[in-house]
Amino acid sequence: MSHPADPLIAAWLSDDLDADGVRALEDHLRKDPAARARFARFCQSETVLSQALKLAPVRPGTTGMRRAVRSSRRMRVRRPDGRLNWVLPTAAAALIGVVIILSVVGRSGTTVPTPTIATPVQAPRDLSPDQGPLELLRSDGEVRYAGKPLTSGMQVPRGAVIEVLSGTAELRWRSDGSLLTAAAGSALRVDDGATKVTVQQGRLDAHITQQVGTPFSIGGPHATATVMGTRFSLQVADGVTDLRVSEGRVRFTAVADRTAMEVIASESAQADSRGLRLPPDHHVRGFVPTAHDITRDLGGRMTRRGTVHLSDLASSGFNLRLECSDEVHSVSITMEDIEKRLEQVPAFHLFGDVKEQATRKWNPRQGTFTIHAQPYRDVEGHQALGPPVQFELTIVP
Amino acid sequence: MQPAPSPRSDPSASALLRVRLVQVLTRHQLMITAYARAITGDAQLAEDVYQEVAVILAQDPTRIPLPEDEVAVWLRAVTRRKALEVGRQARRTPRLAEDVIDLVGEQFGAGPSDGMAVLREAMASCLSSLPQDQRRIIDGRYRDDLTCEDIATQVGRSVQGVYAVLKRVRVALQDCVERRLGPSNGAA
Repeated sequence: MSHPADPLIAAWLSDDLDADGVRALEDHLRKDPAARARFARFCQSETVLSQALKLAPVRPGTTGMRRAVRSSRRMRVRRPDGRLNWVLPTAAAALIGVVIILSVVGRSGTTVPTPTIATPVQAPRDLSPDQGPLELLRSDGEVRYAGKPLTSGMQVPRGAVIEVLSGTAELRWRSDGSLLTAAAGSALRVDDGATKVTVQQGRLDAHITQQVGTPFSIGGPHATATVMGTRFSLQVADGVTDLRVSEGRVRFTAVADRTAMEVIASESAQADSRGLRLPPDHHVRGFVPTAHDITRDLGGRMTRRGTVHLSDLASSGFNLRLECSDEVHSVSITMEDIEKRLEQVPAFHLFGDVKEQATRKWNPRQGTFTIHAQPYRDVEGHQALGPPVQFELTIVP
Repeated sequence: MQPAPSPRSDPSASALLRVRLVQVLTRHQLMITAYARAITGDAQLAEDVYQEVAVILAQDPTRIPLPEDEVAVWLRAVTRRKALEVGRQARRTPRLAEDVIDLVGEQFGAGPSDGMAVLREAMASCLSSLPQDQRRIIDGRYRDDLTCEDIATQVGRSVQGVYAVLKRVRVALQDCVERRLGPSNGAA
């Protein structure tokens, strides 16, 4: 039941981890689904712990601590009465919640639906409104941020939401000169983190200058587009984030399940709250690069095409797992003239897996390789499930 | 996505939406609060996030997706956004990288409507079985809201010693809860 990451998780909950410790915990969480599940359960338990203490019988000798501390430090109590630590906030929260719900929902029955543009968000108080990573170059309509007009030359701070009420707004990412054009009805949040800008609503056309080192990411509610220098548009409407690439190559990663696909010029891709949108008869849901002996994944799930860095492979070699629907019982996999096999035992791997005692090490080389996978309902490679799926794998230094 | 009922076109839709809103909030309270705790690293901020999410839902319950399996995904995205926003307003840097926040987010799902109560009961039972010295420290931290420095003074240990006990007790409590409820924690 215990997990090797338990001490790190428990220390993290006490805010008792230094930077190295946090990095170690993050490594566990990135690599190990079991660690992630355990972490989530710890957080759930932490949420109910103070409430549960009220239910658990108090033992003799455990009640004097608060009084003793109070008498020694009269001024440091964070809440008026520790005995009611969970009752008061919970009762207050419940009361406030009920009042808000009843009043707002009560009103909603007689009011029009909320506007399609996101509600303005207050700018962070610690940032001056004339300093920020994004600048409005020009606009032929009305643009606001934090509820105030945004005019040419003004900068937008991190955390602010820009609303384009009419016309278009041409914005410039100040550090690299990338140009972003937002259409009327768009709402963008300036994140300036791993994701630079998030499109909450509407359409954004992006011309990203060539990036050195860190890629440029623009997020949507359902997916993130990560680029190294390209032109593309991201549109968020009707519960779908739609990407259209006009130049270069964009990695499109779904928020819901982290599945990614690389989209090239003249192609498009869509994501919604379930993940990337695939045809309903798509029985091969994605490709996951793994070490040759399948002991660990080397990246997330990708569809259509993906890139793997030789430097990430190191000595672990290379294999590729096909993630398929439950209806698939065998898959015929071909990788040009390098490999051709019928996988009959899940999980299905390009170069076989340990279950079959047939793991084969392929020394990957730089280049682009096309993989075809034909899923079958039958374990012997009969009853094809839809057309074959093509995956383009690019290996770079 | 199916179209949501319109309160304007159907008088009974408003009442139905109100019922659904309460159901959704009840069922997902643990998920929202726990995920917010993971993002903000702070119990009080996590409660604030839950209130903010409740307000968002209450302002326009028609935005809640109708298919049940989409509700948790949608609420996770709302919780993530709000938690990062609340953290920024409180000038707190997220204590985990954003890609890790996304990865662990997938583990916070909907549970049964009584998931929080079941988990609380199990936790109470596990707390009752703690040795007295450990229980004293947990009481000081979670019931009396004392700092580890204050607890250390009262129990005659070093501050690091108190942190170490808290760490051990958390793991022991988690194991105990999972023994009682199974690895799902009874919630997610």
